[in-house]
Amino acid sequence: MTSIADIRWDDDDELLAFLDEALRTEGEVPPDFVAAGKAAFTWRSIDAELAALVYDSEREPALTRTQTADLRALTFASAHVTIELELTDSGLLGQVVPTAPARIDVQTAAGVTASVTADELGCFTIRDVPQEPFRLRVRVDETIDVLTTWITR
Amino acid sequence: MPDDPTVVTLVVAARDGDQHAWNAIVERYAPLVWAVCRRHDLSRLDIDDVGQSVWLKLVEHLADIRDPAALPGWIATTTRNECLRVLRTSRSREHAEHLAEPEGFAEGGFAEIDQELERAQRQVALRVAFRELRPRCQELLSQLFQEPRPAYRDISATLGMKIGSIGPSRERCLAELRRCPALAALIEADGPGREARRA
Repeated sequence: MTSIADIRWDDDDELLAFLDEALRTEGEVPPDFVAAGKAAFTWRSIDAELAALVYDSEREPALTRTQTADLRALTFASAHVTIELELTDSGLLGQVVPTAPARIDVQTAAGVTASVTADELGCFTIRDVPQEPFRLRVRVDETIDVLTTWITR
Repeated sequence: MPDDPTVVTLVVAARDGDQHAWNAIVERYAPLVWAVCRRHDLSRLDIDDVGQSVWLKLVEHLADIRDPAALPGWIATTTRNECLRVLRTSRSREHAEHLAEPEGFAEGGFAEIDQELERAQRQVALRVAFRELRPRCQELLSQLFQEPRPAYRDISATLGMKIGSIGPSRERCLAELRRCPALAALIEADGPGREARRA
């Protein structure tokens, strides 16, 4: 890789080559990757804790997958709660641990598409799962407010 | 690394809720996030995960970024940390299942990150400068990037420009590119000696 100190800026051919590289590099970035970044601005006012993805069955090597291919298991964890999800063609089943009657919002870049309440075991069902990237906001009373990272089907 | 005054302007505007400023930040630095992820050999799924985390963190931290000029460095470091998080998750699983030895990637790669950052800064400056050029210059320079490079005769036909004008125009357009503030700042910081000798 060329160190910046080695660049001869006054050389027309070199400048042109670097310009070419700069525009080409930008062109290699998928538009939907950039679009997702822009959409992240929607959440700037949300004062929620972020729950990171700690398990995704889709990322398991095929040989070790224990579930059938049409079920995807995901686990998100924050300091206060763990959110277990099973994503199938017919919907999204989830459980909040420790169990609590949480309120769950499904959010896409466009806004909240569904809201459900978990039962006393912390279980919830979302029938209409967005096709586009989405995330869950999980709230318990006034104490817990957690946002998962984006989920892409 | 030279300070880029427009970064500061964009961060301040985004902080005040300006979506366009935020979009401009993302457009500028998405290639940096992408490049760092690629360097860590992540899958597209993982890259998306890292990207989301980086942008979300940036959205959250807009209000308390004390030195907006340090933004590119912050993005590069955060992206690297997020890549390592994703790799740790998949690596610990592999380890537990005795499937594969953890690979030696991503160890002590701070020099690499510095290089990636330097390269990204240069590319951002070049792209910003290019878009500030007159459309005519952008068209001409774009023609010169084509692989294989078209003959001047073909460029002349495409752009309706005399063959004899192409060489001098190329020189003028590149000189204009160097004078664009974003690039001029970088060249200045890089080595004023060279440009001074030239002038």
